[in-house]
Amino acid sequence: MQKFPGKNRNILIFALTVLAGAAIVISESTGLEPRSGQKLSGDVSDFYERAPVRLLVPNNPGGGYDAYARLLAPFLARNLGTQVRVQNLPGAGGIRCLAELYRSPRDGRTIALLNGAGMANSYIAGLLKPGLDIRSLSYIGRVVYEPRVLLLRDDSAVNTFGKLLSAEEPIIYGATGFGGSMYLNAVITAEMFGSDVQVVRGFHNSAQVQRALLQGKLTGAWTSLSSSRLLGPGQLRLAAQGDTSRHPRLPDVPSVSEFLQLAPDPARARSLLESGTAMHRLGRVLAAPPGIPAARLEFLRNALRDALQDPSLQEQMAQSGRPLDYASGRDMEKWVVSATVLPDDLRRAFVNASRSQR
Amino acid sequence: MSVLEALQIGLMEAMSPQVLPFLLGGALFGLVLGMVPGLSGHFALAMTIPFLYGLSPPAGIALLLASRSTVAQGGGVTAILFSTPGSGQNAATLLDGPAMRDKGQAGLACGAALTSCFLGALFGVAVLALLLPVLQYVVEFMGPAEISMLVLLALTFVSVLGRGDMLRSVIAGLAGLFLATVGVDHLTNHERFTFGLLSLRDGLPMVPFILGIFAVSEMIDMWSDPGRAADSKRHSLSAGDVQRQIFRGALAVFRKWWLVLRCSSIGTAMGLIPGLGSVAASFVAYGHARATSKSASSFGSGNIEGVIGPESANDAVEGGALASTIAFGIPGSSSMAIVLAGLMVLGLHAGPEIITDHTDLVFVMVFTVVLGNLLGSAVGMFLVNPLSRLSTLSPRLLVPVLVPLIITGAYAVNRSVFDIGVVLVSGVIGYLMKRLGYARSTLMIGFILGSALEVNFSLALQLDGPLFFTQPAPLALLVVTLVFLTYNLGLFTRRSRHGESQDTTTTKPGGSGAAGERLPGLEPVLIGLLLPLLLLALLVALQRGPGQAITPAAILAPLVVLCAWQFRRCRAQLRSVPLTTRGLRAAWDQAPALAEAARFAAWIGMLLLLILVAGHYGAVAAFTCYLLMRTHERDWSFALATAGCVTLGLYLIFEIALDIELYRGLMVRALQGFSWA
Repeated sequence: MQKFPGKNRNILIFALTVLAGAAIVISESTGLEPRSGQKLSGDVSDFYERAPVRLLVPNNPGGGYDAYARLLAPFLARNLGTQVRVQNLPGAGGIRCLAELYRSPRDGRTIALLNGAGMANSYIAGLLKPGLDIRSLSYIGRVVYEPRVLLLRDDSAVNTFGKLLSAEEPIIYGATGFGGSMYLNAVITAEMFGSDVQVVRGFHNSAQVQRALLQGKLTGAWTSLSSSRLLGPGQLRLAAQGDTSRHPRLPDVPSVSEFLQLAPDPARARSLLESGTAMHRLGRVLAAPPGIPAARLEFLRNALRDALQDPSLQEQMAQSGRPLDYASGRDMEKWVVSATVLPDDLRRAFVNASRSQR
Repeated sequence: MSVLEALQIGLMEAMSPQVLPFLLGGALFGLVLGMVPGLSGHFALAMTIPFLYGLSPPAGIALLLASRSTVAQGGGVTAILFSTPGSGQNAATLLDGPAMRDKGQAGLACGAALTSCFLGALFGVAVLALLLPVLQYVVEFMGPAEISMLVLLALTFVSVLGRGDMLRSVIAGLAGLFLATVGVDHLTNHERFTFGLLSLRDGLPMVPFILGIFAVSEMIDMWSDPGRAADSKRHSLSAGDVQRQIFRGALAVFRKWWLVLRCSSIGTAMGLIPGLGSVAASFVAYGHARATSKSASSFGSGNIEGVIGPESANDAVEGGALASTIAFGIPGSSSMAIVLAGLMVLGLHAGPEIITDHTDLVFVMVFTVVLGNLLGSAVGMFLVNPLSRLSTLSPRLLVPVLVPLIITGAYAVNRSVFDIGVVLVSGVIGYLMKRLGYARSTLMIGFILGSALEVNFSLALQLDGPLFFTQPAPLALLVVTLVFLTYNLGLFTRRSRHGESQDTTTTKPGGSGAAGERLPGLEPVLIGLLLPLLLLALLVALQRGPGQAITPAAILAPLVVLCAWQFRRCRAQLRSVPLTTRGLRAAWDQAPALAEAARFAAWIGMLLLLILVAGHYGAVAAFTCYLLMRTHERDWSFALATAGCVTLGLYLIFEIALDIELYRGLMVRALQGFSWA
């Protein structure tokens, strides 16, 4: 065994200095300061200036959520008057990030970018841990809302939604997994129009589904607009869009609502469509833990609104192909209730689409 | 413009003064990042995206792709010198690299690794460039039916991986397949063996698991086996020796060109398969190199082919993955999805048009990968010398510094404390496997290919019916697989008939220095403990409906049978198990290395507890300080100084440079107002 020279004091002093230095930096970065939440008297902007804000993201660096968060962070920081540090907490389809948001101090210094539609769906299907009530979150505002689109092969005999509904042969959809949004949309649309569908599950991602669709192994696929890649003549086309009305970014793509008269029970189909849309319009939403002080929530809401109106943020988002659809936190509060309070019959439809009976 | 013109323009652009600095910067960044355990090419890509805004397309492409392409080089060098792979893709290099280092061939191994990395990348992008005209057909060829047959073929490549003991090897492979079933089953949306843990829903986290099985297990081995330290001292080389060795290693790679070519092809093909990528490629290439080698028996104890194989495959993946990504805008993996996002920031939309309209940019990509890899290999070769000085330090000094680095890297992948637990527990498992002669590489291959096989098999069944393998392409692949399997089995029986003496129950299991030292009855006792657990798991799986039970049951049933068989084979050892306390103590005294390993495992457990309670920094400082104190004659000042430097270093690398907040511990979190639930 090696014997290292120096039981001398210089090294000891050096070591202690290094340790002390490290301790200082670390404690500083943890924001170990007087417990916040108890000092409500001070001005809200003073409160935010004192320490950085954590922005939690439910995916790894590089994904769509991460890109939105990292583009947004500096603009949010400018409007909040403090640093905004993005923290990635991937895993369990976003539930891990949601759980951490719930555990975080309720002082308004922790916020998260969440998949609102996914959370609402898991909530309805009873897949969230008890106690994680997404209705109690403090909603700051929606950043973007991705239209759900139906992809069909351009050169196939079934290349419009109308033809799909009247098709003789069984419809084969492709999806990633059971309970994922691709699966959910395919099953709910089938339920609306009473169609007979088979959903092939287990694809790696939406891109792989689209490849199989192009190879002629599938009839169609429901996916989000941003992951539709193979659009073009002779390839894939947007045949329908899944909301109650046409989407401003897709004026030429018919909404499913335009076909409701073809459904066996148009009234029920409409309520399924409305619930799905209510869930879906929660989009990618910025939220804080439940019960943060009202003044701080207001401050956060204004900061998000102003950040999203900043022309240079809009330009950067546009450059990287990331649209923005701001909606206020107050609207989100209302929408999350209408998305999660469902009549039993509709609730069962959504639960069945998320949990296997086998 | 013609292809040749585009090639010329692409080369000129990649070498132009507006682009070259970005290429250099990206390559160096990737190289350094690759040396930090756990941080992969995925991470390098994500880190460069923010710098792309405002760059010209060629410069942006150079920065983006160069950073990813050198990660494997950095990780390969540290895998060989410090038994610490940069990421999963370098883990296979650990099977022979460190053994070569201990034989005094560190330079040789590094030279070979860096050169084969470069050649593999070159091969990958050459294939990409050649395939450009027919790329569409190649990618469309790969449906689930073809992929599941390809994965099956890959599994047979490694069917003879075990150290001459087929049974242990198959048990390891099945165990890997079983571990791959943990998590939410996407076909039925039900949890399998997650114990209700949120952290297991996505399956056992791959990078922490690999780091544990390969890196932490090496740390335990290095620590508990001081004899080997003395050995490597004897092999301490002069700078000139190392330089000469690097050169010889590079030459050796060229002499083994046929192996490089085959392993690079494996890598490129794997790159085309969605969801696999470089980790699977490197292990399959290792298995292939071993299965086809004339000196297969020396694999695992420092065979240069065991370094060349995986290292030439892990960068060849690039070509295959890039091909399907840029040609169709279909990302084969999550890191290729980041490449797509990066291209979008640069104003480029991937798809067939990029090949026709921007052929020159495609060649900028090709040359970026080539030049980036060349640069990475060249700079890497200069780094080997100073780093190999460090690697000759006593393990008793190295291990207390490397373990914190490994667990921090494992944490950084998902920012999850649970992953630190995974890395430490699988470290102990990996160590036991190594000591008892269970091939860790087969475990890994089962683990990585398992879910790809299940998913694609089920997709093929859903899409093409139960007879999907009778279509022409899958059938051809199946025939190749069967031929290969028969050939290998024949080879295996012939080999075992020739060298019967080396087989059977009393084989000396792996581990270099202390291989002779055994704790009687360790294997039967462990298997005896494992068997009821596996049986229980099988029963639990069978309780579910047929849709959910089929995969776990199909893996667990043979696993239980084989474990029982192995138990029968080695139960004779049980007779020598001392049942009195005195007897036990005497047995431990006769196996000092194992006893030290057990103690080390206990400290690792303490480290995990400390991290939970006191946070990452405090725990790491205490762990390092304590280990150094124990071995360096209670030299407080030295231990404190080193622990302080390690902690500060981690803080600077992770918190400052990479902006990853390490875990603060329950105490600090409670102070900050976090709730416990």
